Amino acid sequence: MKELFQKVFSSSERILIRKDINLFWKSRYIRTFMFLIPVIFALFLPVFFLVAICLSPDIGYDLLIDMLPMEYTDYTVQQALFYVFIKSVCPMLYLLVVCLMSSVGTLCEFVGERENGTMETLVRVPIPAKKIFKCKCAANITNAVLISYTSFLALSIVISLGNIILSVPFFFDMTWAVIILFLTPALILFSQLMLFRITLKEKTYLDAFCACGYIIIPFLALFMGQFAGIYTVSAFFLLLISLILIFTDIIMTKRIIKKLSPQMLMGDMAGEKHVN
Amino acid sequence: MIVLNNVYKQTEYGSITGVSCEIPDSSVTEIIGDEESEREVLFDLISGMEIPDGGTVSYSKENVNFGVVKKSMKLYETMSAIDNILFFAKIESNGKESFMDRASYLMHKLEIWGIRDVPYYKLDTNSQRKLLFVRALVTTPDVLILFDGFSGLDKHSAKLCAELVSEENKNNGVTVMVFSDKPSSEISYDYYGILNEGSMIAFGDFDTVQRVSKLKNKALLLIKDHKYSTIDSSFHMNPDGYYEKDIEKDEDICDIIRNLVYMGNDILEARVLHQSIDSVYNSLTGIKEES
Repeated sequence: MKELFQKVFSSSERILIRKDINLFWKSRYIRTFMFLIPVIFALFLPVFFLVAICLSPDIGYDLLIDMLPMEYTDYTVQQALFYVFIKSVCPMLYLLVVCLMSSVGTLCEFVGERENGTMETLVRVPIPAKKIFKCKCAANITNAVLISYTSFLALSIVISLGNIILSVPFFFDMTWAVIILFLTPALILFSQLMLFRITLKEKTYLDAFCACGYIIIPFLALFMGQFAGIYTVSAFFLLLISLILIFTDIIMTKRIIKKLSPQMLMGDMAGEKHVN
Repeated sequence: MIVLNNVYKQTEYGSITGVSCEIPDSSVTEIIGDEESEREVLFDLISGMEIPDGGTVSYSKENVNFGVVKKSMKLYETMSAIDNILFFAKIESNGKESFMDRASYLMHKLEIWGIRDVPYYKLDTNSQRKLLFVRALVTTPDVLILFDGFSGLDKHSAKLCAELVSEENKNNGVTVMVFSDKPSSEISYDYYGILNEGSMIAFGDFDTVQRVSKLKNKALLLIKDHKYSTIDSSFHMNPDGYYEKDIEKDEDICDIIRNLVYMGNDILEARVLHQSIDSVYNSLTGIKEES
């Protein structure tokens, strides 16, 4: 792994990536956010749901059980609720973590550096803007992947616990495999590139943070639709979305790299003169 | 050498038109222009951050290494002073060299070696600004560009930084370019460029720029019991009681003295008053000088 890292990235790129990863964890606010979001969405909320399901009364859920696929109609209320929780709520919670981690990382790497005035120092060092962009993306992807998969591990433990307690079959199926193997990396890169484009015109953290919502809303809507019983999100459907995202990522990366300039990294696309 | 040939650039925040100048290697040049002069556009063009829309910007060698000091530039807050310097030096050199000795030398020169382990955010403004000089010089750049580089520094710090820049220019042949909003006196300059509303209205050594401004040096004479009839109308008396007269060249004062003495005047004091870059700049840009 180390050898591959050394082959793909030059010495100066490795230094830049290490700096970006360190910078990410040295900021107290970012560190707290990066810790709290996965804990809340991948640990606290699932545990809360599991406890709530275990304590829920057995009456008043007939409609819910009727909505389940044929093979699950003999489920008890608790089992049915847990099934809906695994199928609809958990992927939503997990993808929310993925999206937020990637978005906040992008904000920290680009908007944060712009706001602190360090981006200007960095782009005035004689290294190409593309190299800086590549390193920042690599650092952010490393962080986001690491946190996302750790969150999934925590979520898996809670769900598995629920599986055992409520005697529901093991949760990990093709849908989850597609989410982990395809949708997570595609979504991390998509959030990062999308936010980079949006934040070209945003000078401050606050403006850029508001822009995060544009990325999160469609994915929340995707699982909310399933939750409302409008449609079922199958593995094939998620694979299709992943492939579309991967295709979009490739096009966006090419377009950004083509247009990338030091001014773009400094956020001068807003047409504002640097304030001395 | 940096050669700008009829450079034209239109940006969202200003434009420059028809700028031509030649900046020789190892020279010290000051580009003077106020906020409206669009010197930031010129600065970006020379430092390679922008590509001209028309004309050319060429360098005497490939891959010119620029060191830049600009007031708006900052270093990483959580990193210590020395870590910041070494980080930038390493990424610039692709991690091949160790810059510890060079960083130590420069930091000693600027009297900030003592704060090397202090995080950047804990440093006072002077030390932060001095660190930018170290950062720019640590890899011994071909061209050092100071954009309002001395502003915000206290007198002592500015003097130290100016001495270091002059030393780097003399010893390592670093070409120095200073962009300032008004003439500065920290360093002695070989060349001046006067930028006004996006145009380079004068460029060259001081004599050339002065010639463009049409300001002349003055002969200054203090005459004892002067006889008015012997002093022609080309003389003008200033408030201090000195007679002034525009002269083309310094030697002209000898003829003036000779004539006045010949006419029976006792000359107590005679000297040539050279124009300053401030006067030349003000004259070229139409700024009225304070009396």
